[in-house]
Amino acid sequence: MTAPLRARHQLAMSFRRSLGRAESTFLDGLAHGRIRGSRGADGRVTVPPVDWDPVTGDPTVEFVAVADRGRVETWTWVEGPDRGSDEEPHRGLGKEPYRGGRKGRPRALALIRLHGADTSLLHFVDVDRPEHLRRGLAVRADWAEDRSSAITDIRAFVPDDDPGPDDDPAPDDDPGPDDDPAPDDDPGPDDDPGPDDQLPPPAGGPIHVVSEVRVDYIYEPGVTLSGFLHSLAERRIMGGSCPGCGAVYVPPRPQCPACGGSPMGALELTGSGTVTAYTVVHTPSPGLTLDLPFTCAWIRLDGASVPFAHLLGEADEGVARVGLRVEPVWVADADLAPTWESIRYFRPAGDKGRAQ
Amino acid sequence: MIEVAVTGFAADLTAPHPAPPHPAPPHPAPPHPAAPHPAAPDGGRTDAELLAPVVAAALEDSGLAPDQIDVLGTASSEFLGGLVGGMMGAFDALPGWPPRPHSHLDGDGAFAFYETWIRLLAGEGRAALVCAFGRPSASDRRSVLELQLDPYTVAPLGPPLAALAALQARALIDSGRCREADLARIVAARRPGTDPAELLGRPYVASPLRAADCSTVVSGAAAVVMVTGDLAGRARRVPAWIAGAAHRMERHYLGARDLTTSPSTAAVAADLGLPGSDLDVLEIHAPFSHQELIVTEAIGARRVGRVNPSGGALPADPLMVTGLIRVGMAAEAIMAGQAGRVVGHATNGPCLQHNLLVLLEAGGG
Repeated sequence: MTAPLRARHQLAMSFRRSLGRAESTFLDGLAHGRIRGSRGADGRVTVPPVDWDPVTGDPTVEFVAVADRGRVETWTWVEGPDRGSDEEPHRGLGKEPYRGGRKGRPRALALIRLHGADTSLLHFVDVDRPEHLRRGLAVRADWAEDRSSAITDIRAFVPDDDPGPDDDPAPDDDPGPDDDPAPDDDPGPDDDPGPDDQLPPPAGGPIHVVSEVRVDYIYEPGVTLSGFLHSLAERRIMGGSCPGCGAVYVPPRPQCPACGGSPMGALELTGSGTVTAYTVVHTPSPGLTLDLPFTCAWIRLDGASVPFAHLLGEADEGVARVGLRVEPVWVADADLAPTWESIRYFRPAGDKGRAQ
Repeated sequence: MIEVAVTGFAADLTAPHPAPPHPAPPHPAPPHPAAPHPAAPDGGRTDAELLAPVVAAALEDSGLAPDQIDVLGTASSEFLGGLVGGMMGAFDALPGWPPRPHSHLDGDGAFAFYETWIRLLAGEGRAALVCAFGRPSASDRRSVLELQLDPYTVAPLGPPLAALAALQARALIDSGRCREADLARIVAARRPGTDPAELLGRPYVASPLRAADCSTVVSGAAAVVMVTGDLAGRARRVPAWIAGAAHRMERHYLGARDLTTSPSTAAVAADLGLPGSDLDVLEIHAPFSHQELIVTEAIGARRVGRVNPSGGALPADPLMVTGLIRVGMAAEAIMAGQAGRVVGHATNGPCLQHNLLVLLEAGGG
């Protein structure tokens, strides 16, 4: 038995998303060194802001500024190789690995309750050791020098050595009204609270966020299909015949989709067949290496029950038609490999290029 | 009123997991004659090759022939395989001709179970096959699941999923409702051979979670057969009647939730009449150890006979299949004649964002 095949492939997609009102308000605020939230009908402030009231479902009416300092609600310290390091190639979202400041990516993540907010913000806390972290730790935003309307416009949060009137209570202490200032009491000079501080709308128009998805995969055609592909490298087309209903599949399947029969018996086919449908492609698409125009066709080989898709070549305009008899054209010996591409294309059988 | 019962269940997990104390679910027939290649991940099998024996075993368990299946419900995630429409190959493993109504969802099979149940209640058929399959070994599963995260405010921070779960675990510990020793005891119960004291000495992956607190992701497939009342008599074992099922989702931003509780689970439990009641078996889909405590508390049963007798998700977590396996293993306890009232739980999204419960009972219908 030949070894099953494996191949690497990468799914790469680039998304450029325009933001809605709430996200635009939030990220634009970050570019200006402001953190904004939305106020709901019940008076609670959500950060990051949302477009609709989480309780009533009505559109958000009021965006407010909250402080850029607050307290850690919960935290974790992440071990393991840095994302994007040589030890672990970065594969996730984002244009490039997050590096943060000179120290690189902080190891601590936390949910931070900013003063004036009723929800917590997820972000980094830049400390040297996990022992420096605890619930209730006072922190303040360390803003990046270059800001681009992104969550990373805050480089990280850092311990706030001068947290102001809100002293650092022990985690179990009930903060009480004096210790949990309303937005108006917030002391920070950058945190001018209150309804929708008068920032100009984003200068460049709607904000967009670009996400590059890049995920690596190992593709395995499986045992059944691997056998078929290996045969193509020998210029042989091996169909699979169902022991139950006699249907012949090219490529073979591990189990008959019609009657459930398995395993398929191996049945070599001559390669002669008939076009059951075709189309002429004139439109380019990403990754396409074929010259335009080209013709692809459904081809049902003699002896097979179902067609497969492949290319039609040496067929001038007007020659391709349903019912056209075709034969395979194989690549040169040196180019044979366990792939459908060992067949370069199918061409009209018999007199080439002449309508039958 | 149409009543529906589970009458067949089979699962295949490609990693060792503890055998349940009550009889294991039917395992598939000997390996597919297109024998798997031992050197390749998943033995070199495709989704179809993984799923076909499981379908055959579930049907055998139910006493039904493939052509008696009227309705198909399937689940997987294309992102695990990286091929658009990649699930189509797996459908070769299903009863194919004549064509049946077939609904496929991108997600855990437990949600396909729920949808398929609704369809039988609506009179779409008398017998249904629900399948889930996934081969996370094809990808870096961490980067795949992180595609779920908010692309604006969360994903750019690149948080590992274990770190998000760790935030929840830390909050639970800080609330005083559990200690690290409790997590170690859960891990030891689910991963036989683990010594809790030794476990506490191991390093964190994201404090306070250790590697053993995080589920072992494997490939796998599962199939469940459910029938309406008139066909339940064909069952070869005790039918597990679906007494109720529901699911709810919480807000997606982690900071807007109280991570130490599960309001969605509690709301569903209330819908099903679970608080204050007794359960023989509770199968919890908890990819992280501390989440068993949160779900158990949210359900609020008065007494639970056994939690995760199958081992739960920790020792073997076939992504997109694990929730269906929890439901199947809960049903299994009834079908094996060892329980009367059971619940299967399934979850989706970071930190128990979205939760489903299925209540099954013996002797209904």
